Amino acid sequence: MANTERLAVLKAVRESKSAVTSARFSPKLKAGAKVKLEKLYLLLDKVEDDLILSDITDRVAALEAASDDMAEIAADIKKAVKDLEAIAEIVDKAAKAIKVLVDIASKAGSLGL
Amino acid sequence: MMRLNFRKLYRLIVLLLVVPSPLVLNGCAVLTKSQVAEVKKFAQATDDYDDLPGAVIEGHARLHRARQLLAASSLTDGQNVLTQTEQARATDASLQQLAGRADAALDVLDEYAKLLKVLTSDKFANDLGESAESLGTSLDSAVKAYNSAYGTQVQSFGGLVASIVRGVGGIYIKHKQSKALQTAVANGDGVIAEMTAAVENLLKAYLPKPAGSGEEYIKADVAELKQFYAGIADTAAGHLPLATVVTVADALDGADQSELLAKRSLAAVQALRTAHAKLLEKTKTKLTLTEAISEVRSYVDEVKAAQKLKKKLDAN
Repeated sequence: MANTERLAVLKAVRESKSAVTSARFSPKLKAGAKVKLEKLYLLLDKVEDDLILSDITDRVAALEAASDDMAEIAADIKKAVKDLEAIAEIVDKAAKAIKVLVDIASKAGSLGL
Repeated sequence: MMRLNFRKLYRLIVLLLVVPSPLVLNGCAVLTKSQVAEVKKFAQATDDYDDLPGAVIEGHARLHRARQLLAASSLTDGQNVLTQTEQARATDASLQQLAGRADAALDVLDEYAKLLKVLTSDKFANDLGESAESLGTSLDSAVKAYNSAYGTQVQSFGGLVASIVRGVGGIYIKHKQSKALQTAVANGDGVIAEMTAAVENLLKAYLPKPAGSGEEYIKADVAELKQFYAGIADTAAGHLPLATVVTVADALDGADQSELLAKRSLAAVQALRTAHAKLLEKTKTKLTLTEAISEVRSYVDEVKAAQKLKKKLDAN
């Protein structure tokens, strides 16, 4: 339902509920009529709830769609962070490789090779 | 141990490290302190923002339920009372669920802000510093072992290599951080606009005119609550239970707080949007004189870190 339509229906439902509620509290109303007006009130209240829930659900869904797009941006940033971490790792690997070479050469030396 | 020409090796290492430097330094932007500060401001705006839209929906849910239960208490037919009570419970549960979904959707904003902070942190340059130190120490150990094996007196050069790696590498990292931040914020800006627009749209359903969009969910429930209250009070003719009076007063207090929260949340989301727009502005390549000075300071910081590392290794 388009927003302007929903607003129009909401307005009509609220006005009807207000009129029904005023009528319900009238001291002149007979018991049978009162029960019928109560049922009418419940029907209108249910329609209003359905409109409210439909509206808020649509708005939250739009927020969730934007959130999914943001999650993709966050994933790209995580990749960029990994690339930056890799720079120090390359230097670290070089350092470790040199240590290994020194160890091997020292052991070879001690064996008289 | 095989003989190595350390002089040639030393020259090769310096050549490999220094030659790319002009390519990196020539006209390439590096991450500046002002950009880092702007990221922190945006992260703070995001921290201040959390959970508010969900709390507004929850506030409305409580008010709506109170109104519906008050209506139930005024009904004369037992079946109608039960129907209305069940309706109140079901709608409350649905609204609470929607509040949870709204909060969950906004969690990603926090993640985005935190990732921007990580992207602009000193962690990468510091890690490089540690790795460069390790490399320098390894090279010095290699020279010592060589001298020991061949009785030579080759001078250690680990400190110099480490400082070059730290200096050039640090500037390279800051350059990469700047590019990554620029890309992230440029890509993020459209989505931030989308998210903040969706939040504004949600909040406006709860606000009265002129800020609201017409639904006025809180105001409508308050009006109906008061109408029922007056009707029930008339019927009770001086025997209105205290519990009813307290319930209505609490519900009206809650309504005021929810409306205030909706207004604050709207202001906060607009501030968040503004903070991101400022961040985007900061990441664009055209620099003012102040920003150019800030960029030079970033270069200087990397060189100082490199010198500090060399002194440390040379002292060992």
